[in-house]
Amino acid sequence: MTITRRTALLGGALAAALAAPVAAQSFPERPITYVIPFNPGGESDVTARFQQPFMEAILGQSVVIQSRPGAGGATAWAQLNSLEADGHTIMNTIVPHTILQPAMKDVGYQTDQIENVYFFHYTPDAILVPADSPFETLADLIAFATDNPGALTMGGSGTNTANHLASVIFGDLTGATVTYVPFSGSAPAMTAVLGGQIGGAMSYTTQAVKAGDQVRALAVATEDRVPALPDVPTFRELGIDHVGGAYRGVAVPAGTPDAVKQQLSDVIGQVNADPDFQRMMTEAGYQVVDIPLADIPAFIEERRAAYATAIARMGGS
Amino acid sequence: MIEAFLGALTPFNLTLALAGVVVGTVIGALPGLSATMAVAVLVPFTFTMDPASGLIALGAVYTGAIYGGAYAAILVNTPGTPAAIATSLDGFPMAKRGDGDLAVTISCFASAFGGIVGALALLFVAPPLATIALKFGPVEYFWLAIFGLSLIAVLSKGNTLKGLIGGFFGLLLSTIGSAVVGGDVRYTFGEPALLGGIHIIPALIGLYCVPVLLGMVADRAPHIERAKTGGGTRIPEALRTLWRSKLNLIRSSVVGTIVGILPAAGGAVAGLVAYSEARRTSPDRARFGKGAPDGVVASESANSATVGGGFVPTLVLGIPGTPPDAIILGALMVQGIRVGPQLFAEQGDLVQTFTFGLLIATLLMIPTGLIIGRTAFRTISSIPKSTLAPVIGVLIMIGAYAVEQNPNHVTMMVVLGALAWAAARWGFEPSPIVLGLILGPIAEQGFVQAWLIGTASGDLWGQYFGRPISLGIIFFTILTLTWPWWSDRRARQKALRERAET
Amino acid sequence: MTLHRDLAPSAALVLLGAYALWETLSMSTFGAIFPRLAGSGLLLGGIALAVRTLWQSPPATRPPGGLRRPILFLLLLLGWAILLPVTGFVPTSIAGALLAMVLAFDARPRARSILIQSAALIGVVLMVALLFGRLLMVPLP
Repeated sequence: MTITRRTALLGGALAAALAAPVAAQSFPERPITYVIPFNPGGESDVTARFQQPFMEAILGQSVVIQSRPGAGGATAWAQLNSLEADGHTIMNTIVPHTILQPAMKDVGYQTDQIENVYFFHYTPDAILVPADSPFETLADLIAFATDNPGALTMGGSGTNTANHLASVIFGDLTGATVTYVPFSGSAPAMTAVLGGQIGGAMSYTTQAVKAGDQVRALAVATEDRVPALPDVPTFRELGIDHVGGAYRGVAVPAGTPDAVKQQLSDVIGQVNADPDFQRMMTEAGYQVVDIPLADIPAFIEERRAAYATAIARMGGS
Repeated sequence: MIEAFLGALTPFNLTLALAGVVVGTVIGALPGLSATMAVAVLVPFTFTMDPASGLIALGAVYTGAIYGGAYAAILVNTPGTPAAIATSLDGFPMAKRGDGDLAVTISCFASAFGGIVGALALLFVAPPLATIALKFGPVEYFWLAIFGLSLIAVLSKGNTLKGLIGGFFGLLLSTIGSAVVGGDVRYTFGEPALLGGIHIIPALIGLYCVPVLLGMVADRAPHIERAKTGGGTRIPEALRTLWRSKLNLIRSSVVGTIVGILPAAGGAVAGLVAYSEARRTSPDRARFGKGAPDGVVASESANSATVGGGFVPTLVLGIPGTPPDAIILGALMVQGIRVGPQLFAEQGDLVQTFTFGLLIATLLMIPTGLIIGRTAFRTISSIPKSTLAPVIGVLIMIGAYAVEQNPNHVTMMVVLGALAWAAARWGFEPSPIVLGLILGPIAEQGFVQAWLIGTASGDLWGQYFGRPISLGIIFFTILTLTWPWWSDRRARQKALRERAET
Repeated sequence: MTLHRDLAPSAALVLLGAYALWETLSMSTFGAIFPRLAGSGLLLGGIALAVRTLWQSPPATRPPGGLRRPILFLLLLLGWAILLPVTGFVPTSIAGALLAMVLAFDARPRARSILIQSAALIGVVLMVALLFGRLLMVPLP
């Protein structure tokens, strides 16, 4: 951490402290626990650790990252509202997971029971093929999958998951029929792609960045091209209207005071605005977005509508 | 390379390696605290260090934890980590008859040897070895799991039927929860708590440790025999044993390295495969499971070799070879290091310094392991059962809880323990159940993925039976299952001939 | 003729296998493969075990040791596990450890040894709580 960044952060913290309303001054009065519903080393954990020093500087309290993995995040999300609702416990959430899971089965929580305060980035969907794949462009892949329905295998992490959803949406938009092969996580799916065991994978830009030139990304689901993958076209450029991925946010237990929710939302927004934070995120293939507290209900509705057809096709409600 | 070696030798890095090994060994030794857990809880401490030191510390913790699992396996009959499952098969019978000190010392040297083989592979032949990870497709994992399951038939000699039933029961347990492939919700009785399935750590504690605890209070015999020879470390004897089984040692270390490279396998599978091979090729197979030092040698050298092996795909391809590697990979990314194939090219020094650090940590494991092991053995064999039982009770509670900070796991652990205890009264052993539980998901996912891929390519039969590595694994499975019968027949014929000659 | 003791697990296995198979009726094709395999294995295994028992009528398996203390200990562990999230780690574990000690005594102990062991156990619980709660930052109930 450079000295300039630290002073800049301190300055920001000071400004925030001066600007904060009187009512919220009692928050935070002790360290914040930041619960991650996935294992350390996963993308949720890594991005939370990127946020950690910036949040600590603004809040003036330490932020303790705690992982509670299980059932693709559902274990932790089902526990969220039983945690202490004073803002000192916050939890990482992901859309589409929190929309998809309750729609597919009884996971112990409902989408609307999760009180998100901010969505701060997303990992855009990306279609990856092995470097020696015959498919040079997305058009090649779609043409093959349309002429030979089901002959192309595409891996992803699990059934009824974000990757599965994305591959169903992709099929709906392009008319291509692929065989989706579920793996126990993104790493085994990537191994299968690198080994040529499957034709490609419905994965994320971050995986493409990590795998380097062992794989070829054919398209990414962003509005503008991803800085870390400048040569890869977006779906929209190719005439396919698909923007999306795994949106990661921060939620609080139900009953947390509105002032505290607003304050947390502001803090995360401030972190997002920091150029150093943005640089760390974009280099690794993450896409920083700003969806603050006020915009959450509209965002959730918009996403729900975007997924509705695919979820129905997958047998959900 | 010399520069990297000196980089690993700074006093700070040496201290870190030593501290990491000690902490890792202690955490691994506690029932329920796996290597993954040890690495996960210690990751935050490394963020303040420079990347090489942080990596060395984590590698040392990982190595120590895998080794530490052997203590609980040998002295309490509870694998401290899943990797030590095969260790308990012969380690505990050794301890039971008073050879606990010998077993601990053997496991220490065998672990160090396996660890060194794994680290050397990482240092010298990592890039070509990494391609093995890519050669293993779903169908290979399916057959590998079947190979592991074939061990059930071998393990439960004398009562194969009950062994098989145990295996099927483990398989059924493994299907509980929300399925990775297919997405079905199976056998949860509508309980969200069961959606995540049966976690392997609470299951291990329940199935192995609870019956041991109950047995401890049931009769007056001491938990394990005290040392016959005054409680030394029996180093010369241990080294002689290892020299005698040098082939086993080398083979198991190589098996461990290769299985470690496979991203979906891991220490438990490595230990079991090496154990199975050691048993098959041993001249006195009958002693396995009754306290054969060779069993401990095979399991411990193989599971320690997975550490180095696991780092091969992690550092070369950016694909974590084992669950702790996934965490270490994440830690590197937080440090701002670009992982993946470019890591070896751009940060070659870092990788080499780390590998030397891993080697040093493995060597440091010998003295620390011997000292900690001797203390553990003396403590467990001398404190009264009225203290030992409650202490183990506290440890299994915290162990089952801490994996995912989930109180439901604790209840699940006790329930499985009650089941295992009752089953043992009718002659059902826990090991086949655990094999089914661990290998079931690997087999199921591999089978279904292979089915999907085979159907898509229009060559389903070729997918299962037309790939060279698959055929090799199938061959070894058949060999393992039929070898005892073959060698018995040969021995009988030889005996007949000899009788005819005289 | 009284029923052979080893028939009890056979019956349990047949019931469990049948239940497992019945549940697979509502699963998807791929999701049902392994549960069906496991269920059939248990069902057939149970039948095979019963046939073997009746056919050969081997001497019933008799495990060593009494039953009273293990069952009490099991109940203790169960109570311990259920109360853990309710009453908190430290109090539950101290109580659990002390009760476990009482159950595990072989002969009638001397007062002095009870005191020493109780103190040691309380120390162990506090140490574990400190190690996990503070050092490793695992949140305890």
